[in-house]
Amino acid sequence: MNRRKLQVALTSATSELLPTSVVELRMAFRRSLIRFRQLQAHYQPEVVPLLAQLPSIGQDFDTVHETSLLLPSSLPPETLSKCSKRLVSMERELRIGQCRDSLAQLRTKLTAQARLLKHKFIHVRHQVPNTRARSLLNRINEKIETIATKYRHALAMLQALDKRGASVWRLEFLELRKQDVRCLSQAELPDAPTQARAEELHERTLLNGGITPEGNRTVSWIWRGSLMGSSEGQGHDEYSEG
Amino acid sequence: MKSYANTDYVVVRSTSHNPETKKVASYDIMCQWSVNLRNRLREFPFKYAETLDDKIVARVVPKFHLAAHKESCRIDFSLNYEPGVGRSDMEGPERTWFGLQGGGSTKDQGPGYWSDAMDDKFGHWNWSKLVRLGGFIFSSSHTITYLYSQVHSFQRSTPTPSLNQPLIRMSSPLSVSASPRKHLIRGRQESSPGSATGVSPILTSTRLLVCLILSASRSFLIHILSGPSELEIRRRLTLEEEQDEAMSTAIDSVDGFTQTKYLLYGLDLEEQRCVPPGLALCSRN
Repeated sequence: MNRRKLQVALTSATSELLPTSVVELRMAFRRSLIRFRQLQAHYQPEVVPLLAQLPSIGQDFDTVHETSLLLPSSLPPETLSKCSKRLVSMERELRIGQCRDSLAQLRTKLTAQARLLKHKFIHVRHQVPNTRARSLLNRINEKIETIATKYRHALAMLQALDKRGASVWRLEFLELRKQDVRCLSQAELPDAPTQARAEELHERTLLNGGITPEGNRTVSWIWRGSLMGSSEGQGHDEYSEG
Repeated sequence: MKSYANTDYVVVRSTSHNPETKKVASYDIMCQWSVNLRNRLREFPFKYAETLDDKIVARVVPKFHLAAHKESCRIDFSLNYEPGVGRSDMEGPERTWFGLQGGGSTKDQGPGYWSDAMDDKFGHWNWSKLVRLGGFIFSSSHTITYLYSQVHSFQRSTPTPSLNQPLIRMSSPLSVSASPRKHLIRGRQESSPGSATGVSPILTSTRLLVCLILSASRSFLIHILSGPSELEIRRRLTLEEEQDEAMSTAIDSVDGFTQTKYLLYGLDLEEQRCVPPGLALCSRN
């Protein structure tokens, strides 16, 4: 279940209609949050004035999950500058780890999704097996969506912490657009530089029976690994000497 | 050491007639066998055996067997990333099992008779292969002509100097001649004085294609992780803090929460809010 669905589950119903387990989860979250605020007053004393502006935890049960945690990454710049340097650098490193992990998970899940789609296409026939295959695919799609959301969030936080400067992670973690979330085999047309080029590609696609011409497909950047990798181009040397 | 004695012997003896030729070696357990190969080869009483592993230019695991290896082997010993091998799967030796059936079981034969029977079977296998070789080579010549036309059209369509210069070493522009055989001979003649490296145009053009395939396939290498994972970073930060604490006497903590632990707690809380554990349960309620 992804964040969007959770928020739908928590906001669309009043407390009386929520399932017990969701109420329990919310309660546990609220308790943890109170604990967190106590610690925050000690480790991030500069956010205390900001805390006063947030709705009180004790009063508004229904929006408790939407409250900002006010970790260094979500602070306004002038407050961030007063924050402990060590805390900021630690969060920066952890966000890099989150980005890296979610990209790896994304690749795994996308491979599984491609395999399931192929299996469904080749082997699954008739209504019942098709419904099952579809629901399996839906589950994996939800997971992919969750991971992509997590990546986008981690990257946004990372960008907030490390606003300027040519950091190494900028080469590794790019913006994850919707069309970037695709498997190795799912190619698509590249962004055409001009209108004439776009029309030409469209025409060639039509001539090719609706399939994008081979030479014009691209791989999503998530499969390219780090752009700073030194292994690029090593293979050519052993060849050129003939 | 001893466990590879049989394999080593076979390799050394079977290459005794052409030790200088460059070889591509494939073996089901190449990742283990190739480790101390040089040391084991030194012990053979043949002079050429010592440098034999220099002549093995590629060490691979056959494609069917590679699937059972671990991730690092699947990258280091993959035929898919090996230049010049085409689409070979190197599972040739396994295919003989089918052809060796028939002619009675060897189970009830004595050692001498068993050896002769196996020799006969393999001899027949080799002979029938030799008989088919003529037709195979003839059909290959059509393929080479086709390759030339492909390379030619490729060269015309890609004016990029960076791709062309290091890879293609052809002495004259290619033309597709009517007779495939004539073309083959022409290619061979050109190779000796024409190209500086002494590689025949056929080989070079094959390499060109392989290079292109390779440069494309390099980008398909799946980098599992390009650096430490989140878990590793968490562990490192906690260890760093522990060391800092050991250095100084004053310990800054509230209820057992240190600065690092506090931050990790905050990130966990954020995660809990996004994807709460056990929420799948409540969706069924």
